[in-house]
Amino acid sequence: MTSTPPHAKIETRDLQKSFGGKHVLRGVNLTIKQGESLAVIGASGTGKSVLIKNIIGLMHPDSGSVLIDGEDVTALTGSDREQVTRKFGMLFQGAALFDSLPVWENVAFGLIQVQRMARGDAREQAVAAMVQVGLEPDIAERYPAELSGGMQKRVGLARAIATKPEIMFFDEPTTGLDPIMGSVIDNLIIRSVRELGATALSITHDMASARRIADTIAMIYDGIIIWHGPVDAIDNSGSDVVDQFIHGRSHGPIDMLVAS
Amino acid sequence: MGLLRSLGRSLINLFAVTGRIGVFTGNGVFHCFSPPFFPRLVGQQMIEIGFYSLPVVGLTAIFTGMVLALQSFSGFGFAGEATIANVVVWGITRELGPVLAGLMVAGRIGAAMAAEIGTMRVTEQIDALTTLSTNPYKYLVAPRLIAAVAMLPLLVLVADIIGVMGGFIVSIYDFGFNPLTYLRSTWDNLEFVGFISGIVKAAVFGFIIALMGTYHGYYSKGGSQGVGQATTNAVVSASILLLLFNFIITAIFFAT
Repeated sequence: MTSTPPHAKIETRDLQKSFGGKHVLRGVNLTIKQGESLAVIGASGTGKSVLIKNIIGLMHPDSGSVLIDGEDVTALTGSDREQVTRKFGMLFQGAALFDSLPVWENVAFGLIQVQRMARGDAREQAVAAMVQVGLEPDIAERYPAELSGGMQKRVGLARAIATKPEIMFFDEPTTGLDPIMGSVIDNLIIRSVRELGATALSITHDMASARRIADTIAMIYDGIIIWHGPVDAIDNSGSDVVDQFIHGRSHGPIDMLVAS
Repeated sequence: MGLLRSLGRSLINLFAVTGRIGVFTGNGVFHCFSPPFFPRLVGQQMIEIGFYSLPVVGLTAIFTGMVLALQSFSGFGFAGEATIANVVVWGITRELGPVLAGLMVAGRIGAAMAAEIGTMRVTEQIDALTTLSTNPYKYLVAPRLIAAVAMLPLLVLVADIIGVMGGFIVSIYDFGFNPLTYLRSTWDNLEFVGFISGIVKAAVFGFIIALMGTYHGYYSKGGSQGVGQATTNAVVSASILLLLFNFIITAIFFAT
């Protein structure tokens, strides 16, 4: 397809996904430009995670397509898929560090296993990435289970940026952290994305975090994107649903199905 | 109507699970033979499966050999060294060595694999592997399959030797048999096909144990409870499949 403008880094077209009888994504259309940082906001259980997993390739959509750099990657498998994944770096909600490996090997994982770098060089580069996210080099030999939640997030971030990805994904980056640590992680995210010149896609329900890390915000509701615009326009979105969400009101068009 | 429906549903479930195991097995075996390989991980698993199972397998084997000698002595009376040595070496190499070692390793290793991989699944570590362009089948499944298939025959070889030694100890120190005569009878009664059938069984058991451990771990869900369930399922299914294949392999080797 030549119709895709070259500056669209990530694009989803009419993405649909159901689980059993539950229609989670009902046709998501989203475009993220090269160098843009987009945050997808939405209530819990509205399909944010499903959306990001479909884009990364951890799940496959029932219909619709995902384009990375203008290339349709929806049906790719095996080594073709791995070629695309090499452009990605992801910070998981629970950091998802490999608990059988020490911190530095976690950070160096992509360098050793994928880029086939010698272990000594990979270690040096891993320590550099650790310093970049404010970690002391002397925790390199420790295991993830010995670290606090905030430190684990930093290690996860260091692992995501170590391979210098073109596209960064952040899954609820501040969930489970205190507000100060959340802000620290947000700032690290902003800085690393800027230093890499990467395109970023975050999903979050933390509005403060979304306002900090994103250039543009998209709100997902009932399986579709109901609003998409620059971060400073969100207070005047003209949408009751968006207003209810960003102000955290319990009454409004979003029905959280709380008993009585 | 209700009965028919639930019967149909369980049948469909059965086919679905069988198909999923089939696809998982195919993927796992394929990635054992396609690069990149992870020799470091294979080595780690070999030590974990082979070396650290030695105490448990050795203890099982020695008591089994001893009890075989005691039982055949009380059963056959003073039939002599030859009979007891025969029963011990025959029973250990053909059946009890591979089956008991297999069951012990299924409990030790199958459970550990399911718990480790299951935890990796529920904490998104397997997804993290994928986002780091590393195929989980290559990184997690293949090394365990290779290591288990390679190490189980060695463990069974050790179990055979220690088991026979157990019988020897009881025969010499309890029954006062002549050590040299006993050993000669053991050697004379050791048959090649029986021994090889035991080693073949061991390799198959290793495959079954690693396959069930990784499969149940890989598809576990729902937090710590799901991981516990996966661990149980891994051990139970591996043990049952192991006994089933023990029968099949025995039939192939010895049913004429």
